[in-house]
Order: sequence, then C-alpha cells, then structure tokens
Amino acid sequence: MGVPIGELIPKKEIEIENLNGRKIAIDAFNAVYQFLSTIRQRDGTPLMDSKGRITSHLSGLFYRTINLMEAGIKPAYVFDGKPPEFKKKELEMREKAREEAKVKWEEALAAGELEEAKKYAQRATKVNEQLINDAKKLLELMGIPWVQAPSEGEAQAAYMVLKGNVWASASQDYDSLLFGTPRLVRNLTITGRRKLPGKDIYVEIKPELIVLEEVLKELKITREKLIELAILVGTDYNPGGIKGIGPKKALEIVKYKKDPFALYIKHSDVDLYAIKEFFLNPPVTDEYKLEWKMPDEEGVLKFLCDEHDFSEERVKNGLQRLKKAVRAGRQFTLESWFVKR
Amino acid sequence: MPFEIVFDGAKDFADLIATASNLIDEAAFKVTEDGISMRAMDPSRVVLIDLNLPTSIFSKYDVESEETIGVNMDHFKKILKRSKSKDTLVLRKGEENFLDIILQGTATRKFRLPLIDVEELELELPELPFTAKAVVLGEVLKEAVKDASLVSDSLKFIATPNELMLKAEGETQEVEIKLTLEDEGLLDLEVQEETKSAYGISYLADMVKGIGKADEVIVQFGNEMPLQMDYPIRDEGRLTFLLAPRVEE
Repeated sequence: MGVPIGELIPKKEIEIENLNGRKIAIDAFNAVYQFLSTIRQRDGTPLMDSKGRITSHLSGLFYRTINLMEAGIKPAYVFDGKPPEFKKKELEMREKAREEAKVKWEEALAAGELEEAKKYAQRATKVNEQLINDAKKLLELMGIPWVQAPSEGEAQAAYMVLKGNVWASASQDYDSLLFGTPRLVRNLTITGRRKLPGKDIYVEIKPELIVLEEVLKELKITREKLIELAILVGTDYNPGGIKGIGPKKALEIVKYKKDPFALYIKHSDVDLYAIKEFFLNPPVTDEYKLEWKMPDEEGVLKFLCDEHDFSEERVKNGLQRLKKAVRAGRQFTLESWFVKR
Repeated sequence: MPFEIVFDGAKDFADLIATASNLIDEAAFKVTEDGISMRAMDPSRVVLIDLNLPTSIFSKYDVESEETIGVNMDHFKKILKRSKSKDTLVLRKGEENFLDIILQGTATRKFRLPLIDVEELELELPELPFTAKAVVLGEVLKEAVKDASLVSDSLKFIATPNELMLKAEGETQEVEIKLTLEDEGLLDLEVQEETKSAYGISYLADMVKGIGKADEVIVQFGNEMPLQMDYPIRDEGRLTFLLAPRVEE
C-alpha cells in the first residue's frame, strides 16, 4: 500500500517531545488498519468482546490517542471518503490478497503454527464500515476531533496542513507528500517498543519527520515531478507502475523528460495524466472544526466497558490520563508570540 | 588562546547552569569581548532562557577572539556540581575543541569537556506589551510554586493595582498566596490594568529551582501572555526566562 519511494525520501528521526503543542492530522484509515493488524493475540485472533465483535482498533485508538495527548500532541483523525474510480484495481487486489491470507491463516492454525498464523492473520486485516463507525464514535466520546474527507484522507490532511490548521499530517504512506503536505510525520501511531514481525526481537521506533521542501531540494525536482516519479513507480491508482521502472530510474526519467508519460501511456491501461491531476487537485473540504474537548466519561465507559467488555479499571485510568492531558494541552508554545499568533 | 575567564564563587555559577539544565539539554554560549550570553528554548518550545553575563561580574576576562561554544548541559552541570562555594572557577579554551573547567580551591582540579555542535537560536525577543510588573523575593516564588504543586498543575497570576495574587485550583483543593506592598516579599508592583494569566507548574518549578531566596526577581506578565522572569546574577548579570501561558478553562 502506498507509493514505494521510501528509499529516495530524506527523513529525520525526531523525539516525541519535539511534537509538543503540535496539531497533527492523522490518516485514520492507516491508523485503524495498523491497530487491527498489530493488536492481536498470539495466534493472530484480534481482540474481541463477548459477542465476538472486533475491538483491536478501539483499544489501539483509545490508548494510543491518550499517549499522543500526554505527549502534548493534538491529534485530529481524518477519515477516507469515496475512493477515486481508478483506485478500484488496487482495492480489488487488496481484497484478493486478504482472502488468500485468510485461507493460509486457517491452514496455519489447523497445523498449530502460531507464528505463521499470526503473520497471515495480520495480512488478512480488513477495515470495514462497522469498524470505522466504531472508531468515529469512540473519538467523539473522547473529545478528539475527526474529519470526514470527501475522497482520500491523506489529501484532506495535506490540505489542512497547507491551510495552516494543523502543523503536519501523519501516515505511514508517502502519498501525503504527493498530495502536497509540507510536513509528514511517520511512525506516530506506532512509536515505542515494537516487536519485529516473526522474530523475538524488539526495536525502539521513533517518529520520523519528512519535510516536503527538503525532499524536493534533495531530489532537485518540483512537486509535480515527484508526482510523475511516483506514478512511474506505481501508486494505489496504478499499482506496479510502469514495468521495469524503480524509484532511481524514475527520478532520472522525470528529471530529463518534460512529459515522461508520453513514452508509456500507450502501454498503460490507466490514464496516467488523470492520476497526476488527482494528486494535484484532489477533492477536499473546509467543513471541519478542530476542538479538543474534555471526554464524555460516562459515554466512554458505557461504550468500551458495557458494550465491548473493556476492563473498567483500565478505561477509568485512561480517562484520568486523558483529562489531565486535555488540561495540560491548554499550554501554549512560545511560537505563538514569535511568529504570528 | 581564544579565552580565559575567571569567576569567584564557583558554586553560584554551578547553580546558574543547573537551573538552565533543568530545561535544556544543550546550549550554545557566545563568548565575546562584552561577556557571555546564551539563548535557548526547551524542546517543547514553552520556555525560553536568555542569559547575559557582562565582563564586570568576572574577576578576570580575557577573550582573544569571539567564540561560540556548544556544550552538553548535563555534563557541564555535573562537573560544576563538584565545586565548593569558595572555589574559584576558571573557564578556558585553547585552539582545541575542548572547554577546560578548572576548580581552584584546596587543590586545582581541571576537567576537560568536549564541545559539541549546537544550533544557535537566532531569535529576536519580541517586545511584549506586559500589563503587570512585580518585584518579588525569590523565596516567595519558590514557596508559592511548592504550595501550588500540592493542589494543581497550573498557577494563576492575578495582578490588581494593590495586590499580586497567586492562585492554584485543583479538582477539590485550592491555594491562594496574597502579596501587597505591606508584605516583605513584594518589593514593587506596577499594574496598568487587572491582569490574569496561568502558567504550568512544572515549568515554573524548573525556573525557580536555582533562584536564591533573597534574590529580587522581576516578574512581568499580561493577560494570556507569556510571563517573563528576570533575576540578577551578581547585580549586573541577568538570567531571563520567558514562559508561554496556559489557556484557562
């Protein structure tokens, strides 16, 4: 998922405290997907309530959001709307891969191979509408803002950064850069100690900051050229890209060809120009309000504990931390006085 | 040799560095023929530290060429902490990228601290339209912060023409500290209009830790504006903190 151009992108590791006071638009689908795929039992079964409904995403969203708030970050989750027509192929491919993984998961479970089972279970992760609606409801109760994008969430997040309503967007995918986000934070929702998949090794994951201006300077290209580069390599809208073209070759091509698509358009079954236009001018909305409010404690307890069987003690403890963080989040940074207020 | 600077009473210098090191990990000190200065912001960008030490507070001040030296504040603090109050402190730098920290007392102890690259904070201090100014004894601030931390994580500063009030409200408890010019702790008060603003206790605690009880501290603030705290170092030197406010509920 996402455009595979990571090797070209200069990024710097930062400390979570450097993000204190920052408002950040988080790619909600990306975050929910990560919670669903990583928060699982040993055999790969997701967390579930007594009625068999999945709760991994709620657990991740609740505790991770509190951690971010405690670090002084103000998260706003941006949810995907209707995908563009040309994303169909990618979505179909993902569905197929998931189904295959599901079969392998069941096979591995039957054979008692737990590590394997977990690996395939993660690949079988599916985000459906119910899970997304749960996530929105929980955020609402927690007092955390969420935004409904008309189309791609990353495009909307990038727009919000460009407008100056938030400081950066957060996602694991680099697509946000194509949509023009001036700042992209990676690893935000997975920062901390993480187990490497399939191994008994733990690594410390820190957030990474990618500044679009620095990326373009380093590669000596414009954003438009970066989009062309990504399309040659392959995006969610033209998976696989042009056969035989990797990131390095693509960089050479876009640098020296004024219209790099001209060569390949007849071999491509998608309209590369239309994809480029979509990255440049995606549908976005101004209809959102970013406010971080005190949580509705009763509502959260009812939703997580009564409906979904979370431990009341842990949720209450989380709510205390969240309330404290909301209060502390009312701390200004000095930039408000040094730069424009 | 780029510089050799001597300060009598190493302990005072150690306290100063210890105070700054509560808030910043590394700092770039500018050593010029006018004195030593340093400006830095804490990583969360809530507090700014501005230090100014003119040559007059040093017993010897030889600077051959202007230098900016970057130091790890924790290491610097730990070395200075080894000083006794009667020790004389010598800061010396030659051509090499080291700072010699020499403590002269019953023996001469020389530490070498490697210098590091630290980005200088190129930042003009804004002219802030403060509406309240008070001169307070260091002791009052230190005690107020301790009192307030029992009940809350923020402390409200409220100034009226005749009174400075510091107030902290927790979920169940609260504390009020009142100061008028009748009180020994308040030396001066100038208030243009009733001014209220709240600040985070943890930052205030770090800021007042190194203040001497008898120091006369100048506190300035405005409605929902930063708080500026100046305290003198050997009369002519000055350590300034600028602390961003918290929004009140």
